[in-house]
Amino acid sequence: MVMKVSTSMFFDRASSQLGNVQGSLAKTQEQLSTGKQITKPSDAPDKASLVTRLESEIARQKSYQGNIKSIEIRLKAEETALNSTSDVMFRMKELAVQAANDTLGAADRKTISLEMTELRNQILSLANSQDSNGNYLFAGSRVSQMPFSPDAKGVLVYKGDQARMVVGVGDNRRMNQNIPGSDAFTNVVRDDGKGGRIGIGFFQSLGDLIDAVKGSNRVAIQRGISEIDSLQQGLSDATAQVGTDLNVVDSQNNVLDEITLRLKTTMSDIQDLDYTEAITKMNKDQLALEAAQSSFAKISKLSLFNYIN
Amino acid sequence: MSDMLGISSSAVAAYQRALGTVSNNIANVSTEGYSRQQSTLTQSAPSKHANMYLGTGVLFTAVKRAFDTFAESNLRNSNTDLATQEPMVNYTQRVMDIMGDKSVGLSSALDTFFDAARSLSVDPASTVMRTSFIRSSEGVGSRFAELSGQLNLVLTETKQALESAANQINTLTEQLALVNQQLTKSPTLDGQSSELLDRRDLLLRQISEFARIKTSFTSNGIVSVSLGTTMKQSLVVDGLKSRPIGFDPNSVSKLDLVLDPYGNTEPLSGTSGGTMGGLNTFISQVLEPAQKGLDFLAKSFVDEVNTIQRSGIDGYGHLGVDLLRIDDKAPTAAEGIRVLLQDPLRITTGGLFRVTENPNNASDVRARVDFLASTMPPGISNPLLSNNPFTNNPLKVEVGGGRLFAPVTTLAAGMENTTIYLDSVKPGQQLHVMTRDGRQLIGVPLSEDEKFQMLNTDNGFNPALTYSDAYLNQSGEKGYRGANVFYGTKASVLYEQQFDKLGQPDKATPTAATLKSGRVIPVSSSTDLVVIPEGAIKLNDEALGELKLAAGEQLGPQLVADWLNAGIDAHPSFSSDQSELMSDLSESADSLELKNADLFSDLGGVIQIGDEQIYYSGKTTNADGKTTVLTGLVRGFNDTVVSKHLSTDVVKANDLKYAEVFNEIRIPAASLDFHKEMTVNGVVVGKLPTGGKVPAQYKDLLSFVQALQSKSEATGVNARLADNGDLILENLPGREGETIALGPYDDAGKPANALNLNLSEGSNLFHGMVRLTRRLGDPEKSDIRLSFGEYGPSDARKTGSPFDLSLMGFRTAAYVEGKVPDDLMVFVTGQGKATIAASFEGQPIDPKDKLRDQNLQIKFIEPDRYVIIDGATGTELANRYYDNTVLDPVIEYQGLSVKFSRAPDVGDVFAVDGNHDGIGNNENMLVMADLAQKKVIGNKTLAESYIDQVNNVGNAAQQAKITQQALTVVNEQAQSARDKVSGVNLDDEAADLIRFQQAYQAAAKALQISGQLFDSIVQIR
Repeated sequence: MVMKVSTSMFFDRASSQLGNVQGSLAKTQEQLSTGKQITKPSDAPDKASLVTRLESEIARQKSYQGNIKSIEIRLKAEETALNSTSDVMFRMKELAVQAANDTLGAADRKTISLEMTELRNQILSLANSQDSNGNYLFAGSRVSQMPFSPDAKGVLVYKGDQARMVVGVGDNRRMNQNIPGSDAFTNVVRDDGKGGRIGIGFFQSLGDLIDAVKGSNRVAIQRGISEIDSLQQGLSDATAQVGTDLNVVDSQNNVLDEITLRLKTTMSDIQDLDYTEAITKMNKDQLALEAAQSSFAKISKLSLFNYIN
Repeated sequence: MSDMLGISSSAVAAYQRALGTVSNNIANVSTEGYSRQQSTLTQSAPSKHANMYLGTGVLFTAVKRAFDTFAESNLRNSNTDLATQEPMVNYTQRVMDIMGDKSVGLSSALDTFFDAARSLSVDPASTVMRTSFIRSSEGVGSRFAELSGQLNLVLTETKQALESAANQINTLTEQLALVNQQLTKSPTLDGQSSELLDRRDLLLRQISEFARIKTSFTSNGIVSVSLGTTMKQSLVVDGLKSRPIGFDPNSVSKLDLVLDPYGNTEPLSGTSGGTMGGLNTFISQVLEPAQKGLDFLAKSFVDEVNTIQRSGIDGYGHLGVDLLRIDDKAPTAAEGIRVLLQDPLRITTGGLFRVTENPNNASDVRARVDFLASTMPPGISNPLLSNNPFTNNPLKVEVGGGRLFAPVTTLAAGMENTTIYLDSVKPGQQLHVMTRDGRQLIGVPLSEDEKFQMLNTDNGFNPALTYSDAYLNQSGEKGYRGANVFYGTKASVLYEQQFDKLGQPDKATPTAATLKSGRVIPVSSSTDLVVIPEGAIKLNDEALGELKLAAGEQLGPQLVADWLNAGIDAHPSFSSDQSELMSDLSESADSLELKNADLFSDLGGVIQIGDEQIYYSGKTTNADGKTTVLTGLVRGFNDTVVSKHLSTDVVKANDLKYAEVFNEIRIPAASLDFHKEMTVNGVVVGKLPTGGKVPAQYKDLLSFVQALQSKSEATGVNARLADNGDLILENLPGREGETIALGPYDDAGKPANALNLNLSEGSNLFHGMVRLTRRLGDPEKSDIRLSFGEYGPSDARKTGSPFDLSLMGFRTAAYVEGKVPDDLMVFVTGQGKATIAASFEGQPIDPKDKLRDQNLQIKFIEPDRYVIIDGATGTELANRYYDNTVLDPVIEYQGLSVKFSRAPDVGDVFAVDGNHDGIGNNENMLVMADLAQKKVIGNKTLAESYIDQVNNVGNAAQQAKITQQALTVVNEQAQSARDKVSGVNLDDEAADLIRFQQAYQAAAKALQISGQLFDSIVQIR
């Protein structure tokens, strides 16, 4: 049997159906204007949480890139200081070799020693380089302590520590953050005269050499020249480390760019609007609304009373 | 009568009414709750003419309400179901939008926080970065608060919605009761007006939107309504009465509904469904879990951040303190996160420990230190060891079965004044106290076999260690990390707390140290016997002589006292030429003037002049202020003694008084039983008269003491009451140290004496004891010590043992005074069973705190051997084998692990200390940054756990939406089903209108015709 529809129900139904289609249109319109598939988290709870997760990941990659940027600045400062030191050391060796020449007199050597002292002071100021925040580059973690300064006896010693710190630059990637001064401005090993061996600090070794030049102590000059070679070796090792780290900076930056791009693509797939689809849907809804409106207008006019007169 | 006029007029009347009914239907086409009405027409009773019946017309019998009970109740239920989903959908979506929003949600705040941590890890010394880290932690806190506040807002709103629903129900039920009252006017349902019934049904339908209802109808249509599951409870409309519902004013959550909240309150049970049910479901299934989850997350965040913050060092080099706190007064944990630190330098970026390569190291080996988080050890590892030196339930240990030792317990570093007593000791048994690295602090040197068995990892020792007895029984500067230890029997100066007249604690006064032995058990021998060899026992570090028992002689307190006194005589604590000690001899009979008065104690002692002993009790300064006199000279002093020796002999003084013998039995007054007999040394003190229950000699404590005193001449034992009320039995003067026999005793093993002591033959004898007293000089240095010494030929040296001391009634213990420097392990060696008691104070200290306070030097003394030295005291803490052949050799010490870039050279030194100035160290901040990826809640990170909660809410929202869609269809069907019966369709009515109109017109025509017929008849003339 055919369902009997009461008049009031007919009107109720019609208005609620019109409302539905209008709501759907409004939704599509909102999506089109924001360009997002999901305008409120409650639209698609499952996707919303995925988006949140991806946003977090992207934020993390961005923060790694921030870290890399800071490290790069620091590494470049270290590289500059080390390269300059190395250059000065070459000149130092030149002078020492010159001083070792037998033809030179004591006065000549004294002159040479004056230049060497200057050079040593230059190296000292390089070893005590500071970054833009006033922190010492080569002091390990004692960044507010001048790393190479005289101890109670006036000997220049390393006062930093050996903290070799690393920083996270990727979810599973850490890289060196600093190079302690003692790793760059290394010790040399000497006989302690008692059959044992003893470590001598960088600046003490240079100081001894200068004293030897000043005092024309040939044996000590020769020892000093060979020690310069070993000190140079330490500097080159450190420069190499810094160089390697700078390479890591570049490659890791690329890695992070790629990861970010991938994450952003995934996120766009989830949350961004497919305009073609949305516009098609809008047209469909529009059509449905128009049809509903016109059919309602027509059907609601139909009444038996029209024909009673 | 059947005539055309009658018939037509009845039809006209009937159709007029029918048309009226149709008009009414049309009029009410939009009236809510209106049920379509139908006219019922019946033919009137026919009249009989001869044998046939003629119709008499039509009757309008009734107006029927088009109504289907089933469709109506179905619609009510469907309404309830649909209304249930609505709050779930609306509110859950709101919660979802709050929690999932980028600017309100937690995820972005956590991202910012960890970003700040990462940036700080790159530049730990930067105050700017530190400040931004603090700000970001505040950001997380306020985000939590914001979220929680928003959720609270939703809760408040839902509460209001619930309240409003309850109020609406109350209005509706009131109206329904009024309708019911009107329904009483008709005894039958048919007699009720449609309008009333429509109103009744509409009200029911409206109530059903707020809650699921149960109904019961009487035959005349009066309805009762219940919000519960049966019609016996939760009745909101009971016939003609309605009862309001409301929140229980006494309920904590203010969310529990009751009947009649301000009258005859009854619980409202079994309510479900509808707007109210939906709201309740939303609160319990979505909102409360979300709030609890958020609170839990807040607590976890605070805990994790604080744990990391506490395990690093701040910019000042101090151990970190909590960064965050949850305010107890805040309504929820999520709203109560407070940032405690405002000083950016208090953020801990640095690691706890640091290793520094010695600048003079010959090698360029690089070292790295890590701290593996250590747990707090229990103070005393053996739970069976109670803190009571006189316990009735001591720890039993046994050495045997091929094992040369038995472990006792571990004493954790930080415990104070620990004493481990060794009782019931067997010959040859010894106590040993060792560090985990095989440094022996107390005991006797271990034999090779003992070392082999004992020093391995199974017994808690570190691997690859080397045994050392360099610190054995040494105290102070020679001791292990400056510890004061002692092995033997010791009596210390006791402090008596004094109170001034206001009751405030005054300075504690020291009382002289008194060493009391236990009861000396008599031993006799038929031959000459050396009980203690010469040198086996030391008194205050001076070796004592031989304790010999002649054939037939019995070992007793007097013999022990004599032996000790011989030792005192042999070793005065100082000796000096008399001229340095004394001058200006006073002629007075009871004083002696001294030159070097500082050598003599204020509180008395012994002086030896030649072979004479002089005891004195004090000293005073003379009026001239220069000379000091000893006063209270009690024994052996007279002018002749002094003048005889002063000129020639060496004057010695020993601050130990001579050992005395004594005997003393202490019974707590509470344990006395005056219903029993008493004998002392065989003399009857009290005896039960025949049939008597109490001995006549005494009946209470006082008379009992008097009875004992009255017999003291005969027994040789006196009785008195101590300050604390204990009864004390002691020898009369002149009979000190004698054994006291108490009785009577019952062989059945029941206490049979007034002292209520459980005695038997042998155990009723209380032997004498020995007491040593030392003058009170410097209270810190005035203790009395009996320790062990070596004796025997040089190629077979032996050491005195606790058993030797036990023979004289002395109790051996291992003492660690002050703080225990490192974890110490206690062992017993020597075959047999023994018991252990202990006393200790203090709390174990956190291993990392202890390590941070130390400066450890790791020194390589051989290519494969290193020592660990305590920088402060120079103590060699460990001496270990270093296996440099394995891939990654690690030095582990108390949770520290030190790794080297390659094997160090001989002579290399690496210092490990608590990082106190490494402001640029980032180790701890790395850990903080890693918290972002650490699985802290179940197997989820903080952010994941939050996203999970968002997901849960989202799923609930989705679920509710789908259910709502399904139920909307069902509801529409129910609505149609009801409308099919009761709804008004205008086309139907139009048809009816035409139908009835035509019938009416026809009837009218018939009436007209009947008139014409009548006229026709009348016109016949």
